[in-house]
Amino acid sequence: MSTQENENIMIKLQRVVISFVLVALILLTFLPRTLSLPKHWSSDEDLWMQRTHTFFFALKNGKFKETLPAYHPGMPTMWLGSLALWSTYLTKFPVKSDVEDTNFYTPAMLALVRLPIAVVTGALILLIGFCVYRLFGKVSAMLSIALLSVEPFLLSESRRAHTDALTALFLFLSLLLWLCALESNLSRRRYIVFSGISFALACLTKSYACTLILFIPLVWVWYAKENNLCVSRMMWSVLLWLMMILATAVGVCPYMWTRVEMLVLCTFGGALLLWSLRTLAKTDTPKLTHTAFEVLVGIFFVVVGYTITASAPVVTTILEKMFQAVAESHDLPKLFLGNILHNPGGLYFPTVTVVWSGVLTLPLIGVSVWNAAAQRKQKNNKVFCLTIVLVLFVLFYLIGLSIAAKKISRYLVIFLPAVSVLTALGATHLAQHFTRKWVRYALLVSVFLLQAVPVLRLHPYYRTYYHPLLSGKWVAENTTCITGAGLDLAAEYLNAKPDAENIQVRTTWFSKDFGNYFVGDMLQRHQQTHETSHDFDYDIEYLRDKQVGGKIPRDAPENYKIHGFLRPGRNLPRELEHVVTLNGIDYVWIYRILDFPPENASETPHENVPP
Amino acid sequence: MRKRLPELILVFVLLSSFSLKLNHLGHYRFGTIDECCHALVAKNLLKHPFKPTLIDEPYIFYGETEWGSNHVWLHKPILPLWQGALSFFFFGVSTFAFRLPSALLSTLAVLLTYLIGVQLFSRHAALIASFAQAFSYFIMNLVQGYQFSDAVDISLLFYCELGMYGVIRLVKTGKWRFVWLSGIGQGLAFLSKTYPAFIITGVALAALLSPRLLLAKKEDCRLHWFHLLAILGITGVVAGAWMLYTAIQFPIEFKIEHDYIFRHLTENIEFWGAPWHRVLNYTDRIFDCFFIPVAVAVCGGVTRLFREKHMGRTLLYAWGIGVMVPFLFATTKTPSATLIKVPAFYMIFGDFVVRTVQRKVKDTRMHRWFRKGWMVTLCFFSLMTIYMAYDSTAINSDTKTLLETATFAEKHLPPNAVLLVEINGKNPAYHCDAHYLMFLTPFTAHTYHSEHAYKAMSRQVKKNGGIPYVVTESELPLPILFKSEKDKRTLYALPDMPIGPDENKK
Repeated sequence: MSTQENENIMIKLQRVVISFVLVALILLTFLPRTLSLPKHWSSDEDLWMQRTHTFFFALKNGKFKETLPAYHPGMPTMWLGSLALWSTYLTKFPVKSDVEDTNFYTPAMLALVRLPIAVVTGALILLIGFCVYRLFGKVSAMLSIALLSVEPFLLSESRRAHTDALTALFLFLSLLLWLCALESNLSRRRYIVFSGISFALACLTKSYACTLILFIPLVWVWYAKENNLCVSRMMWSVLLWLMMILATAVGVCPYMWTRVEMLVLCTFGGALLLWSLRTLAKTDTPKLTHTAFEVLVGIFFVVVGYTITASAPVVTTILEKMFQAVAESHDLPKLFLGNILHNPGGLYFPTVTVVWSGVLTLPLIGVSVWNAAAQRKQKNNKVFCLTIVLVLFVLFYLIGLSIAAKKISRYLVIFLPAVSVLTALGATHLAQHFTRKWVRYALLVSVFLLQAVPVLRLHPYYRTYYHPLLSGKWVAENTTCITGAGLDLAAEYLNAKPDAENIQVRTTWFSKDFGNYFVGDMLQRHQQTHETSHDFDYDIEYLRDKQVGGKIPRDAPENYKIHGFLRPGRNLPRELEHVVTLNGIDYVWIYRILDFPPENASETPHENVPP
Repeated sequence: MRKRLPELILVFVLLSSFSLKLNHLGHYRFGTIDECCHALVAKNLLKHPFKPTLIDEPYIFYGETEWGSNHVWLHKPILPLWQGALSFFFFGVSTFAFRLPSALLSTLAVLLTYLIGVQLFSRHAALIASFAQAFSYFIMNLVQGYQFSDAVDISLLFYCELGMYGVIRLVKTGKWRFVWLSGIGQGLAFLSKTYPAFIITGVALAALLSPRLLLAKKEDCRLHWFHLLAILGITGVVAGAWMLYTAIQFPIEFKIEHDYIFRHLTENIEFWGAPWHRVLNYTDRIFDCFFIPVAVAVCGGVTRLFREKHMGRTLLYAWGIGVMVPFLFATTKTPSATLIKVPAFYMIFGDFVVRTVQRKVKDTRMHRWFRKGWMVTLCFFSLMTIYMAYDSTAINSDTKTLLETATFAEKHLPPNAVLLVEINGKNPAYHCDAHYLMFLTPFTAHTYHSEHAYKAMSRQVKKNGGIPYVVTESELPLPILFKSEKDKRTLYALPDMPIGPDENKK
């Protein structure tokens, strides 16, 4: 064979390999997200189903003012959920307009609402991979996609009818697109356009994403200084970005369609958008006359003013809630390092990040930072700039979340995509130290397997993951567990009993989602009365009840009263029948209620709990 | 002729604006309870010019804190009320006479806008500003009484502009006669609506500081610190006399009302509390059709402040922003509170229009198209403004005026008759019925809200020497004196009360 033919074969082989890897990555991205969706009903999902329902019917009936049932505001979540509800109209059994309809809150409907979110988050991971490819090359991009796909908490949040995964991915994508634009010397408008859209969607999903507006100007200034970017071009790019945010917000938020300011916003915002697009299309430095500049500034402020007045009723509530989150802790106390606290303090998120991280995550981030630092004084220090931006992004949100009083562990999902990319960069850099190609690939594959296997084996209960070097006992005794895990398995256990339809079960507030899977009757403890408590067959308790139920938080005020749903119910004679264990942690306890107390009654939970 | 064209157009604008304001100026119905109170106090001032009273002869207990029902009325400063009283003196007590000073002063304010504009920019810019102000829908509504606080705000606008004209001339010339003009203008503005008047001092201060802040050239400012002190001194003399007099004569009411002014900054007064961005909504209402062009001109013009170091522009921004900033932070926000920024922003707008419609040599075809489009838009907005101004004056609100009831009462009731007027809580249009009846008749009127409250009130009236009568839209088990279909009101006599002078004769 000639050299030419050899080369052709090699190219073809390379293409086949790349195609195979791409297909594998796509499968890896979508399959863990989209399979077994009815499982593991977690907290707030019924709320988001209800909000989606309200949103869908408000849209359907043209009542756009009612399309804002939540302050989060969760627009993309509700749009995607509505898409799923709309699809039921193509079947024989369309969803009913009554939001209280109990047939709506079923695992099948939950899976339906979850599916578009899972698909979109998968697609966003691929887009992030594309940006990483533009910034760091194909190996880093592929590994980033792989690690992002199996990032346990991002993966589990992608499977929920909620807002956190979408927010995190839209936000990170927006940042990466900006970095792509800056790396191309602002010559490609599409990056800025899509970054604006992505950022708007992040903010419309969960308001705290808007804090990026405090971070991103630092990136602009730093890049403009480091890369000697044209200031005028930078200003036009920022204007284009802002107008894209506005256009997306106006387009995606049906509430805005009802505002009288819409016409002005569309006209002037559209004018600025076109103006900036047109100016950035030219390759030379944009120049303006004094009057044109004056008009530009004037129109910009008019658009800002009208945006404020149009969105004021909504934005005011959102800002109030954001300030509330900064100042006031969450109602539910947390278990943190053995203590029960409302505000677990500044170490909470760093600790949870470590507990949730993969085996190699932290060491590889260390490698990537070290590699960036080594490149600092090089002439072309692109990797240094990009890595530092990513590290600062993680720190910005980690510190921000630690400062806020309201601490819920899933909030840190917002910077997990950046953590995954940094991990991938560290691994890629480590691999570059080996000269043999197969060793490099073997190392990368090993990294991936070490990160992925402990996660994927937990399917579909990815949220039960914790660092493989920690013990389940330590995790259960020191960190607040997640909600809802294993309740479906507990329900399956009782559903398998003969005459399951007639079984009466008492649950706690934390195990209330058990009812979504159970075929029999269910009553929550805090709802029970003497009249309703005598004929229970089973008592369900969840790990969280054991962790925080009926206990007074250490930082509680003097006149603190335990929430009704956290108080223990009336003690009934009972016997442990079954325990649901996931990833080495006992999550759900099923007790059989006895007619008489057992002779050696050892378990009388919460005996010393105040009433 | 061509040289005098702007002045000729100005005369035409002033005449047409004034004529338009006269259209249905005397419509019978008061637009707001505020206007009704102002007119009533002005009417009472005819009897005692130095004692402003709302209910001239109260027959039942009243609280000094209740500005809608007390006796001595210091809720608004005296000057607009004196102007109303003077007009009543010449033209008789009527709604037309009360509003006439507003029509005159608002038209003269347009003239002042032109004069200030000429001093700061050009005759064309000044003409555009005065045109926009002359046909301002918001100002028309104030003159016609549909927007509170009617005569008070118009008076403040005029005297502020007078004082501002003095300051601007003073900055340019440094002559003492303009110190007098500014001081007197500020004093009279203070007597119109108290502390917002100090924007004149604020602008003078800005003129002093702007060269140091690199916002104007030093040679453009002939104002000195002693001028500023003199302005304040003259203001003190003009306004202080009345303030001192009221503080001594009516100390309780003076203290209450004076505190009330400052409470606007920190408390939600009369449910007018609003977030900071409400200022944008109110500014939109004030400028109406021209809001967006004015906003573009004002926001965009900021870019010229440091570049051009134009004293006039700096003063206009100091004027406009100086009015808006305290309003942003005040808890209570009323729509007309920032009216006095209008001339400043219209002048910036006028200058902007002049610059943007001028042809330039380097103009591309696109620029020419934009310019034409802009001019067409301006013409459209101008026509819209004129139409809306006309629309405001065409309302001619003369329904439910209580005229019939008042005429009957005046003819048939004894001099010590006291009208107890039921207020329909659901309909704000009825809220000022008692005040309106007092304006139309020589009798005292008191309001009551709950259905049977008139019984207790009538006992109190009788005890104080009055003869109570009930005016209501409800049906009461009382002898009917008069029923007006037009007013939808019935006048009832109370049992064991003399029905009227004629009845007594029988």
